[in-house]
Amino acid sequence: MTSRTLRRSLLATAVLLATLPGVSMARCDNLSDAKPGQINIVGNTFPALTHIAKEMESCTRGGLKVQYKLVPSPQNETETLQAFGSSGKSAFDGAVVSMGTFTKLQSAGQLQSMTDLVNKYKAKYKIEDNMLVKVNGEVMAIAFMQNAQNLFYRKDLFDKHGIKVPATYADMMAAAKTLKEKESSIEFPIAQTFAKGWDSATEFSNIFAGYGGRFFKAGSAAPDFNSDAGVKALETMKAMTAYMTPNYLASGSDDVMNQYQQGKAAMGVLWASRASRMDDAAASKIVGKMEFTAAPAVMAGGKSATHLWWDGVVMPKNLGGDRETVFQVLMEALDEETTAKGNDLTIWVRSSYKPTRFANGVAASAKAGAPQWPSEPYFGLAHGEIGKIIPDVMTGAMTPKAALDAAAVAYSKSAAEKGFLK
Amino acid sequence: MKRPARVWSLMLHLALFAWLVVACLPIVWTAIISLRQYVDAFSVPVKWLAPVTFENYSRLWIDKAFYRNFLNTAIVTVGTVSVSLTVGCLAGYALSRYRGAVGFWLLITALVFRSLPHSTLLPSFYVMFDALGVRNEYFTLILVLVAINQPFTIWMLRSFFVNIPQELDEAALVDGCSRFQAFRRVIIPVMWPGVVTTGLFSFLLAYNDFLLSSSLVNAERMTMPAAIANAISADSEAFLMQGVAGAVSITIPLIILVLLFQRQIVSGLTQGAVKG
Amino acid sequence: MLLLLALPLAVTFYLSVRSCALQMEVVTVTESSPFGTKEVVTQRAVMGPDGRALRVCRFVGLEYFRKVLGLDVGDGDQAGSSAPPDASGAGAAPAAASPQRATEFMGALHFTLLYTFATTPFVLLLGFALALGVNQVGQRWRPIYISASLLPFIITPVVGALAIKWLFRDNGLVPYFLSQFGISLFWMAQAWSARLLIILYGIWHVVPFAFIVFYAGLQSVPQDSLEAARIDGANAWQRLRYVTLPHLAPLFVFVTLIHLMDAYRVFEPVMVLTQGAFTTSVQYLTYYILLQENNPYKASAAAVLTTAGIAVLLIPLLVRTWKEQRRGG
Repeated sequence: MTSRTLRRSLLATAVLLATLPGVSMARCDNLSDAKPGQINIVGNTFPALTHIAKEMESCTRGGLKVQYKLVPSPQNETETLQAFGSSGKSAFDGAVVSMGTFTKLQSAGQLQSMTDLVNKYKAKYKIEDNMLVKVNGEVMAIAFMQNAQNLFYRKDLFDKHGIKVPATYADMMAAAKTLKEKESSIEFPIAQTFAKGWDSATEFSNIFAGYGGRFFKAGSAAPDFNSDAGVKALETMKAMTAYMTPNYLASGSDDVMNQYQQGKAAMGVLWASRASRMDDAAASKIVGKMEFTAAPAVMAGGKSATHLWWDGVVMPKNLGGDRETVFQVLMEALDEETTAKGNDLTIWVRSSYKPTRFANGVAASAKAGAPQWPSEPYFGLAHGEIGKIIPDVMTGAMTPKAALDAAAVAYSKSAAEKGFLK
Repeated sequence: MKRPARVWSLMLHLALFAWLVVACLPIVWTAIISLRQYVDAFSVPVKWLAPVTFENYSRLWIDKAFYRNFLNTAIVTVGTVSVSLTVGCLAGYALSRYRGAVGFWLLITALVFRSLPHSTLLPSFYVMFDALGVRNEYFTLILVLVAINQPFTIWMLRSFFVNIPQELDEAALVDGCSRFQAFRRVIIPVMWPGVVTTGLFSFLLAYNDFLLSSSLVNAERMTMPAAIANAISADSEAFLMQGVAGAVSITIPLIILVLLFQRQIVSGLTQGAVKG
Repeated sequence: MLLLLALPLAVTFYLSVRSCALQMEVVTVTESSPFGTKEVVTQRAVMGPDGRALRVCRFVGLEYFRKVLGLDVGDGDQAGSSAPPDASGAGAAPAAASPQRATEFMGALHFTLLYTFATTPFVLLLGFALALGVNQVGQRWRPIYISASLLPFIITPVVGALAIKWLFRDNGLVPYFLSQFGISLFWMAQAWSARLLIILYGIWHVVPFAFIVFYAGLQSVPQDSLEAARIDGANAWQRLRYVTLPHLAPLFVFVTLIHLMDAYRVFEPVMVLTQGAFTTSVQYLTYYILLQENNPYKASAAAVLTTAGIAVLLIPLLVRTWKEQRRGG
């Protein structure tokens, strides 16, 4: 065979391989200096993460194996904290964490800086500056998705009854009243995650921020959430329960989703990452009818009463595996191909993400001034204490002020336990 | 007395049937909705008839490789039951030949350890196993599951052994068997139903455990209940439906086992537990 | 093997009287994220020479125990200096509010015991009634009744609790059925129905166990005693009372004992059905403290208290058994 023929046949083979449908190169095929072994990554069970985990399943080059452990929250946070905090080698080489978990890890000094790795592999994996989460200039996490709770509303029903899109919580309750009276198919117009504990505490945090409340006194970990803003936030929440299912104290995200999808509730503030599920006929009876916009403010002209979140990957200080390999695997999982394939699953940070209408709410909330989720390491403790007293306030067993004061005392004690308060 | 007996019999059957409905309804309903899409499964109002689909099962078993979890469960369960019974039989037999206070103290130990909530041991297990580096191994989980139930197993087996007269041992020994041979050839066949009953408790513990299994092993080594418990509280209803399918998948082997072994269970309990 | 159980217990005891915390310092950092950059005053762990955070562990004695039991109401006020700015209600309010909230362990213990003692009589009664019933039907029916009856007991508790949840949830089968009769009940919305639901689950789950034990016992009732009684003119009720029941008495004790121990460990229904709203059990509390509050030391204190609770629960029964032992030998 002449060299020309050889080259042509090689080229033909290459073209053939490149155009064969469904034949993609297995992941991790072009890692540089990859050390063999197993890489363990822990993460949440969001659809986006399941997608990433699936993408990485084909990573088997040269003795390398990538194992994802997907655990629902809050267990994934516990496992991550436990692994990264253990005195031996971490059970996980990397973790996909939310902002809240990142804060806890960062403040405990358990994460390693990835600045040098980012610089080395920036071009290869097209890591964008927007994705970098830096503390004092060092890259401590790489964010790949954003999320926020924004307003979901049934545009068809709103149009039918001439209701405008709510801009404030007062608007929302007025709209709920109208729907309850006039729309027979809707018995409980508002569905929101008021479940005892994490969910309701997050609702409080959002509305509290909308009232301009401060969780802690400036520069210290001393509590300040039992202020007037806190009382107002709780009162707003209580007023909303009149339009919600009596089971609201057990309503988690899944229950709220079900109420929307079955056409039983018409509006509420829920996670943008759930938006795309409204349009899947296998899960929803209201395909195409739900629209999304910024979370309402608490007063006219106020900022959107919600918080912005990011989720990203981190690496522990007590890493057992090979740094470069782990980093490359993580970046491989978050590259443009994964994003493109899972475009509609979440709101990706990458610029190559094509926003769908499901992302409207987050964009609008950000534009309307929503702050990002608090990053103080002691915030989680306050959040936990607030979540405990909310059921009592909602059922009227405690007044808002008394409940918040009790939560403040309890928080102060646990903050002192952890060393945040002297 | 013919007519009243017929009416009585009919009423009896009705009452028993009512109980049957109550007993089986939850799992039957779960099985029904596992064959539906989410929008029909959790429909408001309740849908009686809906299109049947097997996609939840195919997604669970194939896409999420549930067969691996099934294998894990098999390994862990077989391991736990065999180790547990072996140790239990030997210990129970040895202890049964000592009368008196041994029985009582064994009972106390068994009761205390059986009431011990597993979550109380969890933090220390985490720390210990991490330090030893054996966290994600089958035998660690098997060891823990055996240990937790061992006092109870030993106590139960011992009470079965106690009912077997010592003369049986003696006769075997006279015939030239060693203690161990006597044990194997004579005692075990006699108390086989007792072994089955105790094995059942051990089996249920290992098969149904989820707190320890989900905490001590990682994704690929997870047993079935641990795997679906994660899926069920997951953040997507696709996962939820797979969890429903998983719930049914887990229950089917149990149903089969009960159907096969129900007579042995009854006779085992008759023999042993009656003496308490 | 006993070591495997004794060791963690020892570790748990050890952990319960200690507390480790990271030493925190106040720092100002520049944080940047997809949402922008800002300067933040926050706290961060002090790093030791090895690059890891400095942990300060100290012996705290009974402090966590008092916290879990809610006996630390008085101590909280020293933190009052950093507490609410408006002092007017500050002193009275915490004291009034705490008893309701802080006694979580007692609340958990209360519900656990409520669950245990509410389910036991029903379990025994229904189990016995079932055993009698199945014992009366013809042999060919029995395998079906027995196998089907055993189902709630052998099902994985998680699966069973979920199956019940899906039946009783908002607009689920049971509320729908009840609404046909005009009864509108949201099971998870108030304390009494949530607790009732868990108790119903408990009964549903354990009756088969009682049933199978009693049924086995019925098979071994000495037939000659029954014959003798029948000859003596005793009717069915009297035969039941004077021959069968005494024979089965040890079995009642056995079932009660086992059920007490298992009920004390109740966890899955609390977690699955209510996620701790309105109901907590002692095992769920330890789990919650460990996972949500991420405080293994406080969790260990709760664990130790739980273990102590077992003793309280079992002592009366053990004393009885001991007495029997002395009598029976």
